[in-house]
Amino acid sequence: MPLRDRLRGNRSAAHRATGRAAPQANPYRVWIAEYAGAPYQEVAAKARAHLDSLADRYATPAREAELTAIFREATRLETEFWEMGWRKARVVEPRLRTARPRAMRRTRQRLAAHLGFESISLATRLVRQIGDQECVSSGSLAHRSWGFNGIFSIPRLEQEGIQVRLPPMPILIITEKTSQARDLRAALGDRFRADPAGRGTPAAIGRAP
Amino acid sequence: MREGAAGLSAILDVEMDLHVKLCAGWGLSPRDLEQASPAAEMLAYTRYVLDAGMRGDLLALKVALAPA
Repeated sequence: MPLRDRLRGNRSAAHRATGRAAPQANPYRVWIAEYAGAPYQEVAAKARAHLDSLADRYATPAREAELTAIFREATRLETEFWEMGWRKARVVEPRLRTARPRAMRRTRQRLAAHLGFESISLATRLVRQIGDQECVSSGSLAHRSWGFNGIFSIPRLEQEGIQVRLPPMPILIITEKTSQARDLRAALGDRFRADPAGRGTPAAIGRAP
Repeated sequence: MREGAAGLSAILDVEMDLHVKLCAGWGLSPRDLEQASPAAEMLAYTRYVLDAGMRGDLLALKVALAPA
């Protein structure tokens, strides 16, 4: 039996992960398409054939336990490597679920109208699609690159009827609490920035299209 | 050696090129990627593969690379 078939049990999870159809909205569809595409599949087929030819020459029954142990360990570490991203997402998500969408809905609708966004969504729904999204923090609104560096409190914006003009961005994410914005910031890296006025509220703003 | 070179090219010219493009979409430049400090999980995985190759033969190295 070819070595790859003996190892296949361990590979099935990876095959399932890459073999699933990629919906158009999936931000990783390019990635999935690349690995599923003919050129990369050819690379993979050659690698498998090479592994089998090496196994024909060097694998003995006595070595099976050793090779299985190496494969199992490498699989565990590879899995850990991929788990990094999910672990970060899991840190963010449970806390984001504490946001109160209903309480925020009216504010979001009014802000969307104010700011000319197509939509404003709570981060809970978007955290896994973050690659394509634009993010703003925390019951407050901050921006950096169009003439004003600062943070607006959303209630204050509404209370005082302040009009803010921002360039159109596809989606604006507002979190209800500073801590949620901080979690998002940790998960998303440099797309978030600290308040330049040093008031301690982590703020984030996406790129203009 | 040719097989090794083809594999290296697939990683450097095809796979890594895509990763760099994806990262650019997330606002990360190639310079950002080069300067990022390696995560413990990445070090554990890549060092294990190197170690398997150093301890064993080519088959052991390829088996360690097989899940990737």
